[in-house]
Amino acid sequence: MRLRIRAVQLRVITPSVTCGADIAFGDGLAVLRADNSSGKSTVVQSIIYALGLEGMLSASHDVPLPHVMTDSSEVGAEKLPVTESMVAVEIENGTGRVATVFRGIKGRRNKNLISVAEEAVLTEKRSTATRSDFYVRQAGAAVNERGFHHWFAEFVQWELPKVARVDGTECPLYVECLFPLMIIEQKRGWSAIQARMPFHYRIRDVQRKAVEFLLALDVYELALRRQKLREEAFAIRDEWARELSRVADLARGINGVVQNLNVSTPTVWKEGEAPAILIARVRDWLSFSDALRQDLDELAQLEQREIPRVERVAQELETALDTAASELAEADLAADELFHEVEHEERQSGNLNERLSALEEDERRNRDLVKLARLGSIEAMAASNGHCPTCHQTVSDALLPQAERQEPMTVEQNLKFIRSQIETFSTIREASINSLTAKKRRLESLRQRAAEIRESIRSLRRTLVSEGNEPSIEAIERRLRLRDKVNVARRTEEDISGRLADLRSIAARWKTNQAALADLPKGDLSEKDREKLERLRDIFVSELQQFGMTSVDPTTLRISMENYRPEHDGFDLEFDISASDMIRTIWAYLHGFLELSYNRPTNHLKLLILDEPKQQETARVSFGELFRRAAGSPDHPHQVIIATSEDEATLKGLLDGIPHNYISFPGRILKPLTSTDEAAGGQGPDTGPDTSDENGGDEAEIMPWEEEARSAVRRALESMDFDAEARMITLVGFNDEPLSATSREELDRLLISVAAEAWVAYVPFDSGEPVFEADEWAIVEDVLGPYEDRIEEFFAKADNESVEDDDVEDV
Amino acid sequence: MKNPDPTILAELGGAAFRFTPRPVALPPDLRPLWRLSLLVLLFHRASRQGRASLKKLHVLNWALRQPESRATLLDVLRGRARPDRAIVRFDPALNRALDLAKGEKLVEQIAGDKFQITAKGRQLAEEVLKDPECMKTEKWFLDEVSSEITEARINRLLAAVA
Repeated sequence: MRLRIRAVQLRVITPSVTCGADIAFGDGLAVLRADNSSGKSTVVQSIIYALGLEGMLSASHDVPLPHVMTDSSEVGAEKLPVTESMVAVEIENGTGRVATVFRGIKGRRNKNLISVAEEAVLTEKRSTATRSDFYVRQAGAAVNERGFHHWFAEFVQWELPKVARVDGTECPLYVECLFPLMIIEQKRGWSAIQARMPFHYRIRDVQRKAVEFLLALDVYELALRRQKLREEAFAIRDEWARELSRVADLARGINGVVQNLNVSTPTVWKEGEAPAILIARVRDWLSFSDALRQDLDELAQLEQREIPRVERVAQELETALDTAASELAEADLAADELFHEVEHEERQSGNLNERLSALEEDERRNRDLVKLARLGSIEAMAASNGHCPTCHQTVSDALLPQAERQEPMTVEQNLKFIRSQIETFSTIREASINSLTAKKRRLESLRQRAAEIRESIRSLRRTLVSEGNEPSIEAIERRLRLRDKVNVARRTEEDISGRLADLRSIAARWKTNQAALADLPKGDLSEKDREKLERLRDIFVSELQQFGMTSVDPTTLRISMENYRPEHDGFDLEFDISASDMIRTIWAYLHGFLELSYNRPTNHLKLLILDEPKQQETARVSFGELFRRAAGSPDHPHQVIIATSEDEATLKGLLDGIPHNYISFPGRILKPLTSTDEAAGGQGPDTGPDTSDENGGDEAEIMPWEEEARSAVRRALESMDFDAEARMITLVGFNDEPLSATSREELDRLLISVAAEAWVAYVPFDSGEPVFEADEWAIVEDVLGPYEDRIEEFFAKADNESVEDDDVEDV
Repeated sequence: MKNPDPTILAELGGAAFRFTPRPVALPPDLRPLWRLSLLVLLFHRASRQGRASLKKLHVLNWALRQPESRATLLDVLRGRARPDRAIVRFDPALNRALDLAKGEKLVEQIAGDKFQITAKGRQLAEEVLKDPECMKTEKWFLDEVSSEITEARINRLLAAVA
């Protein structure tokens, strides 16, 4: 994983002159020196802008570049308005893949588009690659296929995790949140560690999340895994509950309940403890098989007998009627009793719910208390240390007087106490719910039984009043009812056992899920994470020693395992040190990340850009040591770009013996570009193969400078004014300057120079020479087409007229 | 069991007794920390210019105790009052909390029954507000009633029930 800045190109076009800068950066330490206010920050800001990272600076959608790029540029003593400007940056990833990104600053280009050519356009003079446009600074730029940061993350091989936002929604950890750890701009970057974090994305704990990702801490993976497992657990529980209620519905159809099934937690049952169906009968609960056997026996008995004639069973029927009546009375009474029990249980359960919700509120408040106690203002209060703020005597941690000499629990003890109560009451509630459903079921069963008895009484009565030689209706109906009941019971049992098998597999999945959850390390940091942070600490301390920190002894510093920031005596280091040590701390911390990535797997891009790191008059020797450290060793590929305005002589001294590449700008970084002989370019298409040729006729992608040259010519052509009287065509040049032509040849020359100017304005430069030669004539010819006839006609007419004039004079 | 007829004391054989005092549980809203934080929130979120009368403090304090009391005040404010629910009762803990808050210089008494939050109090309130999860329900409730619960409204409400 790596990002290397290979080259930066800036272009600023004013009406009379085009300015620009072309800077190539090497590997390792690169020192960019220029005087104060000469534009060195512009280079750093342009890199940020070209990569669409300005969101790391502020939420504003304004272009974060100085006015020389956006408004007016000083050329010599003159102040010229900027009509158009753009930046291009050539980058390389860890696998040697190169790309060049272009972004317009001012002018006609859409500022939210970044064009990407997957080739070294700036340094290797290639222009054949296909360019694609990606958008930035708009919704979806990080996730959408056409979003630049989606492309960028893929380019640097980052897999950006999802993070939680303050409002509870999720978003990717935006690229803009990570770069403040790798690019420090001058304006506000040096005021604190991670001074400029984009809080406007409203990502929760964005500073911590950024470090976790950049150091590739497992805590990230862990949080992700935990999240997934929890979601899975939720789904399993849900499925369990749904299946359970289906089983309960089925059982209800045969007046039964299913026993030994845990309502809330999926549980795998042991052999012999399988869930059993209990069937409610008037006096008792029977197991399913017993109830079925009872019914089958009764049915068999009935079926053995012939259906009796009424007259022969009249006596029997009378007795049966009596029995049925008393059985009915019994059933009604039992139902009545049970009804009261159910009511009671429901009241109980209601009370429990109330109690639990009160406990839950208490629990929440106690949790808040734990948080409150950590607030800075609270810690400073006398009351929070058990003292009266006025008389400073000890007071108890309670607002109302307690019974004599009873100390209240601490908040933490209290929290534990409440939690254990919640646990207890939840268990009780569950038991209560179970017993309630069972009672309701029995009540139903009793009522059903009562209804059966009533029906049987009715059929007994009908039988008793029917003709003596008719078959007993009661006997027939009883058989039918029983047969039906048995069939339904068998079907249901089959159905339920199928579902129990499903429940069993759900429970098995639950068990695996819970085991995986329990296997996750308790704290958030894994062993490897701790080791990594310890290593970071060692590097950090050794860098601070090298840079000469004086406010505190560097060896007493730690890296917090909670927020990963340097701390001293358990407090954020930032409060304990001098301003210049603060700067050293930022160097050491950020460079520490880079060095850590040498021999630990991280997501660091091995790039560090520091704009004016010599702040607060940090001692010169420290600065020199920063160079030494930043140069690193060639064994570990990395790139540290340091922009500074330190004077040349001092810098030379500091850099003595340190491998680096040195880029120095006497005066301003943006300089007027010498447009190399337009005439030479205009001579013809003998300046190397044309772009379209290389592509063998395929649709060649037109590079920006060529596009600019074409459109400049087109603009000039559109501005043509045909003045017949003066036999002259007036038109507007590249910088809106007025031009005029009195002949076809003159017009062609003008158009070629327009094309050349535009080309030069946009093409990359290398040591004062344009990297690509222009074929201006081809460009002009290409665009001229539709205007050709009109121009020919105009000059032909003008020539004729002039001939006529001559004739007149001759006469 | 050597002793055939042991009374409990005899069985203990004159062992020395020791009583260890155990701390008792305390409702969280009786903790000074809780009330002080709540108090500054009251001033910060539901009062004009950080001032509030004792009456207003008592009404809000009573309402904030539990879900039912919160619902009651909301009902009253929205004209769905239930005559059998009290909107305020005297809570001695609030007075204690106010005393503490004065001592901690979180609020100051500006006149008779009027109190005003101090800069220090505001700072605490800001810190409490920073964590959206902390005292979530209370914040929600205060935001819900803040625009409606003016001093004049409190006076009218109390006049109506008095």
